[in-house]
Amino acid sequence: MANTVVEINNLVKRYKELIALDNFSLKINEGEIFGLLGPNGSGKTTTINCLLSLLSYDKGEIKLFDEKMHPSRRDLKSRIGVVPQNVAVFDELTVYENVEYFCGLYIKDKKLKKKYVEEAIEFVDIADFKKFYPKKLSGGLLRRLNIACGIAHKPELIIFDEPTVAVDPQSRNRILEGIAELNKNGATIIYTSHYMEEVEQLCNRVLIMDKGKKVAEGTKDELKGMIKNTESIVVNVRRLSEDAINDIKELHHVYDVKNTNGTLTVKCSGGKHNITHVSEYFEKNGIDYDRIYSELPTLNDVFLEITGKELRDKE
Amino acid sequence: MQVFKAFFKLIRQYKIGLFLYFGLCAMMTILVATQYNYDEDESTFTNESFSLIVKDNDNSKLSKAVVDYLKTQHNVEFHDYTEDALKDLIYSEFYTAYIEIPEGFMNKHLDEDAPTINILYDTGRASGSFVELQLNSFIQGIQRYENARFDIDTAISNIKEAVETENFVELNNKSNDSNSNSKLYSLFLFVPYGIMSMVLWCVLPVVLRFNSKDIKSRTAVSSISSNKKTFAMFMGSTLVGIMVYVAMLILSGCFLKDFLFTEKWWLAALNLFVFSLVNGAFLMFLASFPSESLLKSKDVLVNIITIAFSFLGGIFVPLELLGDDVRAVGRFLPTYWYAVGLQKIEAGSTLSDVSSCFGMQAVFGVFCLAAGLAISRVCLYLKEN
Repeated sequence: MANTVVEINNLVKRYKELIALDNFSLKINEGEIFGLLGPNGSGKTTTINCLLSLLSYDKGEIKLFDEKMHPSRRDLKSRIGVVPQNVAVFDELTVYENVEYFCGLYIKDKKLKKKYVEEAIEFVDIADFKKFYPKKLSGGLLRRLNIACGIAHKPELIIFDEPTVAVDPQSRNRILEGIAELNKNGATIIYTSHYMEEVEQLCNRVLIMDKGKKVAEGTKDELKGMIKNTESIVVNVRRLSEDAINDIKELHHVYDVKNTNGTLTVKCSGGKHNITHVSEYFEKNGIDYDRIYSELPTLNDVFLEITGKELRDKE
Repeated sequence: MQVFKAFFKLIRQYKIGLFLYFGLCAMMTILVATQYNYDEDESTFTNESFSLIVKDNDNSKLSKAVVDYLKTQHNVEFHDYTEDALKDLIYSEFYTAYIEIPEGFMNKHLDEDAPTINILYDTGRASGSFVELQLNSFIQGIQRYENARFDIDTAISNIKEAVETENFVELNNKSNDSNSNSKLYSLFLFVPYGIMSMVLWCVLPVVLRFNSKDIKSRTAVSSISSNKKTFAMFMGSTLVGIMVYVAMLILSGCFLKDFLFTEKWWLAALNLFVFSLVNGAFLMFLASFPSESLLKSKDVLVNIITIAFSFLGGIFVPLELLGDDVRAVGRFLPTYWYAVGLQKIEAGSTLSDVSSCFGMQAVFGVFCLAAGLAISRVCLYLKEN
């Protein structure tokens, strides 16, 4: 059985009237990439801050590596790497100096430190920018520098707090690949995001939270299995009568139909040939359509069904 | 050590501003020092010598005595130039004056219609008038002896003896003048402005950067304790403060050779040291505010603070010229007590007399530290709640 790296039990954190974390619990095992998913203000960053002893909490217990976490537990802190949501580097230091500084907070041996710094810079692929000051870097490179500063000391547990916010797709993919590689090298990862595609792509296990509470937890398949929706059939159709919509609703395994701006979404629960049944109905009744395709449920659907709201803010 | 080293790497980014302020202070020091560029120990002076052309048409005892006297005072040459050539030479300042002693000058010099010595000089210059005055004084001196029934030889001998006696001129020492101050006072007075500007300019943004929310959080998660980090930053700030203090002492010391290591100098240096410590406490007070907003406005803030402290504290404007209301406000500032302390040192007060001014500065420093601590607590409380 894998060792438990993080254990949070019944954590409560209040900001005056607001309950940021409401009896929140989680458990993360060694070697996992654990996704912490939730909309803005759901309590993800508060959880991370409590976990790192950056914030005090009102109730509950936090254990790291099977030991109780406390602000003075520098031995535990030295085993953690943090990549914060905001880029936390010195504008006055070069890329190399920044990584060296943050690595030096953990590693005292000069030779080892130099080796680790070089490796971290290579790992995030910013070796060509070693002598650059952060202000000269693009958003993507800056994020990579932020990551290098958090992982240079080779921590066992790495916390990524929304590391891909405002990053171009190329850099985003590079970052996600890097995180997967870190995990392959033995690090346990906590990944918080409100981008469900990233979490789906990266994480072994996901916890969805909202309003400081755990909404659901499990592997991606387990989460998807929790909801009624197993398939959505999308049809681009120009004109459709109310009678036709009612007829489609009566089809086998269909439990919801929505028609908005020429796009018909048919939600199905179970069944293997739902798309065939829908397309047969259109052909039988002589209704023209442009395109028909099937979509499997995403974590967003899981979130939507469980909480009744969108995971990501409308952009 | 890691934080300490990074502290100085960050300071490096502000070195241009540091050098600019130091240059400004050096210029102010030179400016103040040049106001006192006379030798304060000098009590005699020598006459200035001018180049003269003399023509002696009389060739008598008296005319020779006159020529000899002029030789003792000036560079005398004998040439025969035309009047136009002489005017050109005097105009172009090759010679100061042309003196021609007429024939029969000695025989008739006591008569009412005595022939006068012809002296030609540029009336637009004081040097010619000065030579004429000297010449007339010498001749009138001889005449007075002769009128007193001395023979010409005795008269000449007595007057020669009189002019050979060295003139002692007492110069008032400016420090004895109640309306002006010594070089030490003037040079030390504006130094707090330099120290405040330099320290706040380059140390404040560095401390604020370390205290910025994201960097602080990231450092707090590391294996370094916050006490170690604070200590490293304190040591860094102190070292920079001491370096600036020593640099300013050396700068002023270059122009204060006569005062160096005197009791007054030691007291003034101690007064400045107390101010430097208080300035450090003030820096910590400023650094306790949320960094993000302060970092954005630090340039304006530093200038406003240093100039306001300097004006209200009597650094730029003498305390006597400040109005009662301004002085009432100034009493709350360390610069005011620094200036008062310096005034006391200037007046010859001892360490025990000046210690009250040191104490008042220290009170300001303690207040800054306490207020800074309170603000930090409030910020922490707001963050947690």
